[in-house]
Amino acid sequence: MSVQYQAITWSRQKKVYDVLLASGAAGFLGLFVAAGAVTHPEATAETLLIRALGTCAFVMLHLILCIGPLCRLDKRFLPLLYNRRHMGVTMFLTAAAHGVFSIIQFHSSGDENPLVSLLSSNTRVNSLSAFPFQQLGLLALLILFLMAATSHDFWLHTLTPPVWKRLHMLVYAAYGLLVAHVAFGALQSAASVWPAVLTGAGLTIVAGLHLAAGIHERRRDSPLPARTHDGFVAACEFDAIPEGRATVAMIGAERVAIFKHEGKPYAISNVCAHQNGPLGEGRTIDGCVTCPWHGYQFRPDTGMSPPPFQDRVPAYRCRVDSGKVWVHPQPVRHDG
Amino acid sequence: MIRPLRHSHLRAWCVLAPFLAVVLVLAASARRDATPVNPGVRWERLP
Ligand code: FES
Repeated sequence: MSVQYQAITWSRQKKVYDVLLASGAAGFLGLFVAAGAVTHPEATAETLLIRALGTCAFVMLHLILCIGPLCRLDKRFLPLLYNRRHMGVTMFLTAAAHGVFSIIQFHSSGDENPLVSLLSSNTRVNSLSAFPFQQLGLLALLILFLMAATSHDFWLHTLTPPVWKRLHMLVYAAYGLLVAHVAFGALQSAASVWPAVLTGAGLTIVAGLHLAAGIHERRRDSPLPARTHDGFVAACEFDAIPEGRATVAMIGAERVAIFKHEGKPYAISNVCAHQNGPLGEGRTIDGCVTCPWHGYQFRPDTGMSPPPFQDRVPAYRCRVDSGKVWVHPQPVRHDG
Repeated sequence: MIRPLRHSHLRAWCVLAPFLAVVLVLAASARRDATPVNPGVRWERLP
Protein backbone atom coordinates (compact mmCIF):
# COMPACT_ATOMS: atom_id res chain seq x y z
CA MET A 1 0.00 0.00 0.00
CA SER A 2 1.57 3.30 -0.91
CA VAL A 3 0.83 7.00 -1.10
CA GLN A 4 3.22 7.42 -3.97
CA TYR A 5 5.37 5.42 -6.34
CA GLN A 6 7.89 3.42 -4.36
CA ALA A 7 10.63 1.06 -5.41
CA ILE A 8 10.35 -2.46 -4.04
CA THR A 9 10.76 -2.68 -0.29
CA TRP A 10 12.67 -5.77 0.70
CA SER A 11 11.08 -7.15 3.83
CA ARG A 12 12.74 -10.09 5.61
CA GLN A 13 9.97 -12.37 4.38
CA LYS A 14 10.67 -11.38 0.76
CA LYS A 15 14.39 -11.96 1.17
CA VAL A 16 13.85 -15.44 2.66
CA TYR A 17 11.38 -16.26 -0.13
CA ASP A 18 13.81 -15.10 -2.81
CA VAL A 19 16.77 -16.98 -1.31
CA LEU A 20 14.67 -20.17 -1.20
CA LEU A 21 13.49 -19.55 -4.76
CA ALA A 22 16.99 -18.93 -6.13
CA SER A 23 18.51 -21.90 -4.32
CA GLY A 24 15.60 -24.14 -5.42
CA ALA A 25 16.11 -23.14 -9.07
CA ALA A 26 19.91 -23.49 -8.85
CA GLY A 27 19.56 -26.89 -7.15
CA PHE A 28 17.13 -28.06 -9.82
CA LEU A 29 19.46 -26.95 -12.62
CA GLY A 30 22.50 -28.59 -10.99
CA LEU A 31 20.69 -31.88 -10.38
CA PHE A 32 19.19 -31.92 -13.87
CA VAL A 33 22.56 -31.31 -15.56
CA ALA A 34 24.29 -33.89 -13.35
CA ALA A 35 21.63 -36.54 -13.98
CA GLY A 36 21.65 -35.71 -17.70
CA ALA A 37 25.43 -36.08 -17.88
CA VAL A 38 25.13 -39.57 -16.40
CA THR A 39 22.16 -40.80 -18.43
CA HIS A 40 23.13 -39.05 -21.72
CA PRO A 41 26.92 -39.06 -21.81
CA GLU A 42 26.87 -38.07 -25.49
CA ALA A 43 25.07 -34.77 -24.79
CA THR A 44 27.14 -31.60 -24.65
CA ALA A 45 27.08 -29.19 -21.70
CA GLU A 46 25.12 -26.67 -23.84
CA THR A 47 22.42 -29.22 -24.63
CA LEU A 48 22.10 -30.27 -21.00
CA LEU A 49 21.88 -26.65 -19.90
CA ILE A 50 19.21 -25.85 -22.50
CA ARG A 51 17.13 -28.83 -21.37
CA ALA A 52 17.65 -28.01 -17.69
CA LEU A 53 16.65 -24.35 -18.11
CA GLY A 54 13.57 -25.20 -20.19
CA THR A 55 12.42 -27.90 -17.75
CA CYS A 56 13.06 -25.67 -14.72
CA ALA A 57 11.02 -22.80 -16.23
CA PHE A 58 8.19 -25.17 -17.21
CA VAL A 59 8.05 -26.67 -13.69
CA MET A 60 8.04 -23.17 -12.15
CA LEU A 61 5.18 -22.15 -14.45
CA HIS A 62 3.18 -25.15 -13.20
CA LEU A 63 3.81 -24.13 -9.59
CA ILE A 64 2.81 -20.53 -10.31
CA LEU A 65 -0.40 -21.63 -12.03
CA CYS A 66 -1.33 -23.93 -9.13
CA ILE A 67 -0.96 -21.29 -6.39
CA GLY A 68 -4.01 -19.19 -7.40
CA PRO A 69 -6.62 -21.98 -7.46
CA LEU A 70 -5.12 -23.66 -4.38
CA CYS A 71 -5.63 -20.42 -2.45
CA ARG A 72 -9.22 -20.20 -3.68
CA LEU A 73 -9.86 -23.76 -2.49
CA ASP A 74 -7.95 -23.66 0.81
CA LYS A 75 -6.78 -20.60 2.76
CA ARG A 76 -3.74 -22.45 4.13
CA PHE A 77 -2.00 -21.89 0.78
CA LEU A 78 -2.27 -18.09 1.07
CA PRO A 79 1.36 -17.53 2.17
CA LEU A 80 2.48 -18.89 -1.21
CA LEU A 81 0.57 -16.13 -2.97
CA TYR A 82 2.38 -13.29 -1.24
CA ASN A 83 5.45 -13.24 -3.48
CA ARG A 84 4.14 -15.11 -6.48
CA ARG A 85 5.31 -12.31 -8.77
CA HIS A 86 8.92 -12.94 -7.75
CA MET A 87 8.52 -16.52 -8.89
CA GLY A 88 6.97 -15.28 -12.13
CA VAL A 89 9.93 -13.01 -12.90
CA THR A 90 12.41 -15.80 -11.99
CA MET A 91 10.51 -18.17 -14.28
CA PHE A 92 10.67 -15.62 -17.13
CA LEU A 93 14.44 -15.15 -16.68
CA THR A 94 14.97 -18.92 -16.69
CA ALA A 95 12.80 -19.31 -19.79
CA ALA A 96 14.64 -16.41 -21.47
CA ALA A 97 18.01 -18.08 -20.75
CA HIS A 98 16.64 -21.29 -22.29
CA GLY A 99 15.56 -19.31 -25.36
CA VAL A 100 18.84 -17.44 -25.76
CA PHE A 101 20.99 -20.58 -25.41
CA SER A 102 18.71 -22.43 -27.85
CA ILE A 103 19.00 -19.66 -30.43
CA ILE A 104 22.79 -19.66 -30.05
CA GLN A 105 22.97 -23.46 -30.32
CA PHE A 106 20.53 -23.99 -33.17
CA HIS A 107 20.42 -20.75 -35.17
CA SER A 108 23.67 -18.85 -34.88
CA SER A 109 26.04 -20.93 -36.98
CA GLY A 110 24.63 -20.02 -40.40
CA ASP A 111 24.83 -16.80 -42.38
CA GLU A 112 21.21 -15.91 -41.58
CA ASN A 113 20.30 -13.59 -38.71
CA PRO A 114 19.53 -16.01 -35.79
CA LEU A 115 16.06 -14.54 -35.20
CA VAL A 116 15.21 -14.68 -38.90
CA SER A 117 16.50 -18.24 -38.95
CA LEU A 118 14.33 -19.11 -35.94
CA LEU A 119 11.23 -17.68 -37.59
CA SER A 120 11.82 -18.98 -41.09
CA SER A 121 13.80 -22.23 -40.94
CA ASN A 122 10.80 -24.44 -40.17
CA THR A 123 7.44 -23.67 -41.75
CA ARG A 124 6.00 -27.20 -41.76
CA VAL A 125 2.78 -26.25 -40.00
CA ASN A 126 0.92 -29.17 -41.59
CA SER A 127 3.21 -31.77 -40.04
CA LEU A 128 2.58 -32.86 -36.46
CA SER A 129 5.93 -34.53 -35.87
CA ALA A 130 7.92 -31.67 -37.43
CA PHE A 131 5.69 -28.79 -36.32
CA PRO A 132 7.56 -25.46 -35.90
CA PHE A 133 7.56 -25.71 -32.12
CA GLN A 134 10.31 -23.15 -31.59
CA GLN A 135 8.09 -20.32 -32.81
CA LEU A 136 5.50 -21.35 -30.22
CA GLY A 137 8.15 -21.02 -27.53
CA LEU A 138 9.19 -17.59 -28.81
CA LEU A 139 5.58 -16.36 -28.72
CA ALA A 140 5.15 -17.68 -25.17
CA LEU A 141 8.40 -15.95 -24.16
CA LEU A 142 7.14 -12.62 -25.52
CA ILE A 143 3.96 -12.96 -23.44
CA LEU A 144 5.98 -13.85 -20.34
CA PHE A 145 8.20 -10.82 -20.97
CA LEU A 146 5.15 -8.55 -21.14
CA MET A 147 3.94 -9.94 -17.84
CA ALA A 148 7.32 -9.76 -16.10
CA ALA A 149 7.81 -6.18 -17.34
CA THR A 150 4.43 -5.08 -15.95
CA SER A 151 4.61 -7.05 -12.71
CA HIS A 152 5.51 -4.12 -10.47
CA ASP A 153 2.78 -2.31 -8.50
CA PHE A 154 3.52 0.82 -10.56
CA TRP A 155 1.88 -0.89 -13.55
CA LEU A 156 -0.89 -2.28 -11.38
CA HIS A 157 -1.85 1.25 -10.33
CA THR A 158 -1.31 2.74 -13.78
CA LEU A 159 -3.34 0.13 -15.63
CA THR A 160 -5.91 -0.35 -12.77
CA PRO A 161 -6.40 -3.79 -11.16
CA PRO A 162 -9.09 -5.12 -13.57
CA VAL A 163 -7.03 -4.28 -16.70
CA TRP A 164 -3.82 -5.55 -15.09
CA LYS A 165 -5.56 -8.77 -14.06
CA ARG A 166 -6.90 -9.31 -17.57
CA LEU A 167 -3.46 -8.65 -19.03
CA HIS A 168 -1.94 -11.18 -16.64
CA MET A 169 -4.52 -13.78 -17.61
CA LEU A 170 -2.39 -14.03 -20.76
CA VAL A 171 -0.32 -16.46 -18.69
CA TYR A 172 -2.92 -19.07 -19.68
CA ALA A 173 -2.15 -18.43 -23.36
CA ALA A 174 1.58 -18.66 -22.59
CA TYR A 175 0.99 -21.95 -20.79
CA GLY A 176 -0.99 -23.33 -23.72
CA LEU A 177 1.77 -22.31 -26.15
CA LEU A 178 4.40 -23.91 -23.92
CA VAL A 179 2.50 -27.19 -23.61
CA ALA A 180 2.38 -27.26 -27.44
CA HIS A 181 6.06 -26.18 -27.60
CA VAL A 182 7.03 -29.13 -25.39
CA ALA A 183 4.62 -31.60 -27.02
CA PHE A 184 5.80 -30.85 -30.57
CA GLY A 185 9.41 -30.28 -29.56
CA ALA A 186 11.10 -32.13 -26.70
CA LEU A 187 8.50 -34.92 -26.51
CA GLN A 188 8.92 -35.77 -30.20
CA SER A 189 12.53 -36.80 -29.82
CA ALA A 190 12.47 -38.08 -26.24
CA ALA A 191 13.54 -41.72 -26.07
CA SER A 192 11.57 -42.33 -22.87
CA VAL A 193 7.83 -42.04 -22.42
CA TRP A 194 8.23 -40.34 -19.02
CA PRO A 195 8.47 -36.72 -20.23
CA ALA A 196 5.12 -37.17 -22.02
CA VAL A 197 3.55 -38.77 -18.95
CA LEU A 198 4.83 -35.98 -16.67
CA THR A 199 3.62 -33.26 -19.08
CA GLY A 200 0.18 -34.91 -19.13
CA ALA A 201 0.16 -35.15 -15.33
CA GLY A 202 1.14 -31.47 -15.05
CA LEU A 203 -1.65 -30.44 -17.41
CA THR A 204 -4.16 -32.57 -15.51
CA ILE A 205 -3.20 -31.01 -12.17
CA VAL A 206 -3.17 -27.42 -13.44
CA ALA A 207 -6.41 -27.72 -15.42
CA GLY A 208 -8.12 -29.77 -12.68
CA LEU A 209 -7.28 -27.20 -9.99
CA HIS A 210 -8.44 -24.28 -12.14
CA LEU A 211 -11.71 -25.99 -13.04
CA ALA A 212 -12.36 -26.98 -9.41
CA ALA A 213 -11.61 -23.45 -8.17
CA GLY A 214 -13.71 -21.91 -10.95
CA ILE A 215 -16.72 -24.07 -10.11
CA HIS A 216 -16.24 -23.31 -6.40
CA GLU A 217 -16.21 -19.56 -7.13
CA ARG A 218 -19.25 -19.74 -9.37
CA ARG A 219 -21.22 -21.52 -6.63
CA ARG A 220 -20.26 -18.79 -4.16
CA ASP A 221 -21.55 -16.21 -6.64
CA SER A 222 -25.10 -17.57 -6.65
CA PRO A 223 -27.36 -14.64 -5.73
CA LEU A 224 -29.06 -14.63 -2.32
CA PRO A 225 -32.84 -15.11 -2.26
CA ALA A 226 -34.01 -11.49 -2.35
CA ARG A 227 -35.40 -10.77 1.13
CA THR A 228 -35.56 -7.04 1.37
CA HIS A 229 -36.74 -4.56 3.95
CA ASP A 230 -36.52 -0.78 3.43
CA GLY A 231 -34.16 -1.45 0.56
CA PHE A 232 -31.86 -3.54 2.84
CA VAL A 233 -31.08 -7.13 1.85
CA ALA A 234 -30.86 -9.99 4.37
CA ALA A 235 -27.24 -11.13 4.12
CA CYS A 236 -26.37 -13.57 6.92
CA GLU A 237 -26.90 -14.53 10.56
CA PHE A 238 -25.06 -12.06 12.81
CA ASP A 239 -24.09 -14.71 15.38
CA ALA A 240 -22.47 -16.82 12.67
CA ILE A 241 -19.74 -14.18 12.12
CA PRO A 242 -16.71 -14.66 14.41
CA GLU A 243 -15.34 -11.48 16.05
CA GLY A 244 -12.73 -9.83 13.82
CA ARG A 245 -13.73 -11.97 10.84
CA ALA A 246 -16.26 -11.78 8.04
CA THR A 247 -18.95 -13.62 6.17
CA VAL A 248 -19.10 -13.03 2.43
CA ALA A 249 -22.52 -12.61 0.79
CA MET A 250 -23.71 -11.77 -2.70
CA ILE A 251 -25.45 -8.41 -2.49
CA GLY A 252 -26.74 -7.39 -5.90
CA ALA A 253 -24.19 -8.46 -8.45
CA GLU A 254 -21.06 -8.41 -6.30
CA ARG A 255 -19.61 -9.93 -3.13
CA VAL A 256 -19.73 -7.95 0.10
CA ALA A 257 -17.68 -8.83 3.18
CA ILE A 258 -19.67 -8.43 6.40
CA PHE A 259 -17.25 -8.06 9.31
CA LYS A 260 -17.92 -8.24 13.03
CA HIS A 261 -15.67 -5.72 14.74
CA GLU A 262 -16.00 -4.99 18.46
CA GLY A 263 -19.41 -6.64 18.44
CA LYS A 264 -20.83 -4.55 15.58
CA PRO A 265 -21.45 -5.41 11.90
CA TYR A 266 -19.67 -3.57 9.07
CA ALA A 267 -20.04 -4.21 5.36
CA ILE A 268 -17.41 -3.37 2.76
CA SER A 269 -16.70 -4.66 -0.72
CA ASN A 270 -15.03 -8.05 -0.74
CA VAL A 271 -12.73 -6.83 -3.54
CA CYS A 272 -9.41 -5.38 -2.38
CA ALA A 273 -8.30 -2.15 -4.05
CA HIS A 274 -4.82 -3.56 -4.62
CA GLN A 275 -5.17 -6.73 -6.71
CA ASN A 276 -8.81 -7.65 -6.13
CA GLY A 277 -7.91 -9.96 -3.24
CA PRO A 278 -10.77 -11.40 -1.10
CA LEU A 279 -11.04 -9.00 1.86
CA GLY A 280 -13.69 -11.18 3.50
CA GLU A 281 -11.05 -13.86 4.00
CA GLY A 282 -8.92 -11.44 5.97
CA ARG A 283 -9.42 -10.22 9.54
CA THR A 284 -9.35 -6.99 11.48
CA ILE A 285 -5.93 -5.98 12.79
CA ASP A 286 -5.48 -2.73 14.74
CA GLY A 287 -9.09 -1.84 13.94
CA CYS A 288 -8.63 -2.24 10.18
CA VAL A 289 -9.75 -4.96 7.80
CA THR A 290 -6.51 -6.51 6.54
CA CYS A 291 -6.34 -8.16 3.13
CA PRO A 292 -5.09 -11.75 3.29
CA TRP A 293 -3.09 -11.40 0.07
CA HIS A 294 -0.61 -8.58 0.66
CA GLY A 295 -1.84 -6.85 3.81
CA TYR A 296 -3.53 -3.67 2.50
CA GLN A 297 -5.76 -2.24 5.23
CA PHE A 298 -9.17 -0.57 5.18
CA ARG A 299 -11.35 0.85 7.94
CA PRO A 300 -14.47 -1.28 8.33
CA ASP A 301 -16.81 1.73 8.70
CA THR A 302 -15.66 3.81 5.72
CA GLY A 303 -13.70 1.40 3.52
CA MET A 304 -10.83 3.90 3.48
CA SER A 305 -7.21 3.06 4.21
CA PRO A 306 -5.79 4.59 7.40
CA PRO A 307 -3.81 7.80 6.81
CA PRO A 308 -1.50 8.54 5.09
CA PHE A 309 -2.69 5.91 2.60
CA GLN A 310 -5.39 6.81 0.11
CA ASP A 311 -6.74 3.50 -1.13
CA ARG A 312 -10.41 2.77 -0.61
CA VAL A 313 -13.09 0.18 -1.21
CA PRO A 314 -16.87 0.70 -1.23
CA ALA A 315 -18.57 0.56 2.18
CA TYR A 316 -22.24 -0.30 2.72
CA ARG A 317 -24.78 0.59 5.37
CA CYS A 318 -25.84 -2.40 7.45
CA ARG A 319 -27.82 -3.21 10.58
CA VAL A 320 -28.87 -6.19 12.68
CA ASP A 321 -32.54 -7.09 12.85
CA SER A 322 -34.07 -10.36 14.13
CA GLY A 323 -30.60 -11.87 14.38
CA LYS A 324 -29.83 -11.17 10.73
CA VAL A 325 -27.46 -8.67 9.17
CA TRP A 326 -29.22 -6.50 6.59
CA VAL A 327 -27.07 -4.70 4.04
CA HIS A 328 -28.05 -1.84 1.74
CA PRO A 329 -26.80 -2.66 -1.77
CA GLN A 330 -25.97 0.98 -2.53
CA PRO A 331 -22.41 1.88 -1.40
CA VAL A 332 -22.09 4.85 0.97
CA ARG A 333 -20.27 7.93 -0.30
CA HIS A 334 -17.43 9.03 1.93
CA ASP A 335 -15.71 12.12 0.62
CA GLY A 336 -12.23 12.64 1.93
CA MET B 1 -17.40 -5.24 -10.31
CA ILE B 2 -15.14 -8.20 -10.86
CA ARG B 3 -17.61 -11.07 -11.09
CA PRO B 4 -17.20 -11.32 -14.89
CA LEU B 5 -13.43 -11.35 -14.40
CA ARG B 6 -13.71 -14.15 -11.83
CA HIS B 7 -15.89 -16.19 -14.13
CA SER B 8 -13.62 -15.62 -17.13
CA HIS B 9 -10.99 -17.86 -15.46
CA LEU B 10 -13.44 -20.77 -15.48
CA ARG B 11 -14.46 -20.08 -19.09
CA ALA B 12 -10.79 -19.92 -20.16
CA TRP B 13 -10.06 -23.31 -18.59
CA CYS B 14 -13.21 -24.92 -19.97
CA VAL B 15 -11.72 -24.21 -23.42
CA LEU B 16 -8.02 -24.62 -22.63
CA ALA B 17 -8.19 -27.96 -20.75
CA PRO B 18 -9.76 -30.07 -23.53
CA PHE B 19 -7.81 -28.21 -26.22
CA LEU B 20 -4.43 -28.90 -24.59
CA ALA B 21 -5.40 -32.50 -23.90
CA VAL B 22 -6.08 -32.93 -27.63
CA VAL B 23 -2.75 -31.25 -28.47
CA LEU B 24 -0.88 -33.64 -26.17
CA VAL B 25 -2.65 -36.72 -27.55
CA LEU B 26 -2.05 -35.62 -31.16
CA ALA B 27 1.62 -34.88 -30.45
CA ALA B 28 2.06 -38.22 -28.67
CA SER B 29 0.44 -40.11 -31.53
CA ALA B 30 2.69 -38.38 -34.08
CA ARG B 31 5.87 -39.07 -32.10
CA ARG B 32 8.68 -40.00 -34.43
CA ASP B 33 11.21 -42.77 -33.84
CA ALA B 34 13.88 -41.47 -31.50
CA THR B 35 16.55 -43.78 -32.92
CA PRO B 36 19.00 -41.74 -35.01
CA VAL B 37 19.34 -42.71 -38.66
CA ASN B 38 22.99 -43.44 -38.08
CA PRO B 39 23.55 -44.21 -34.39
CA GLY B 40 27.30 -43.86 -34.90
CA VAL B 41 26.92 -40.15 -35.69
CA ARG B 42 26.63 -37.74 -32.75
CA TRP B 43 25.53 -34.50 -34.35
CA GLU B 44 26.33 -32.56 -31.20
CA ARG B 45 29.97 -33.59 -31.51
CA LEU B 46 30.33 -32.66 -35.19
CA PRO B 47 32.88 -29.90 -35.77
S1 FES C 1 -4.88 -7.88 -3.15
FE1 FES C 1 -2.94 -7.22 -2.52
S2 FES C 1 -3.37 -6.44 -0.54
FE2 FES C 1 -5.27 -7.07 -1.22
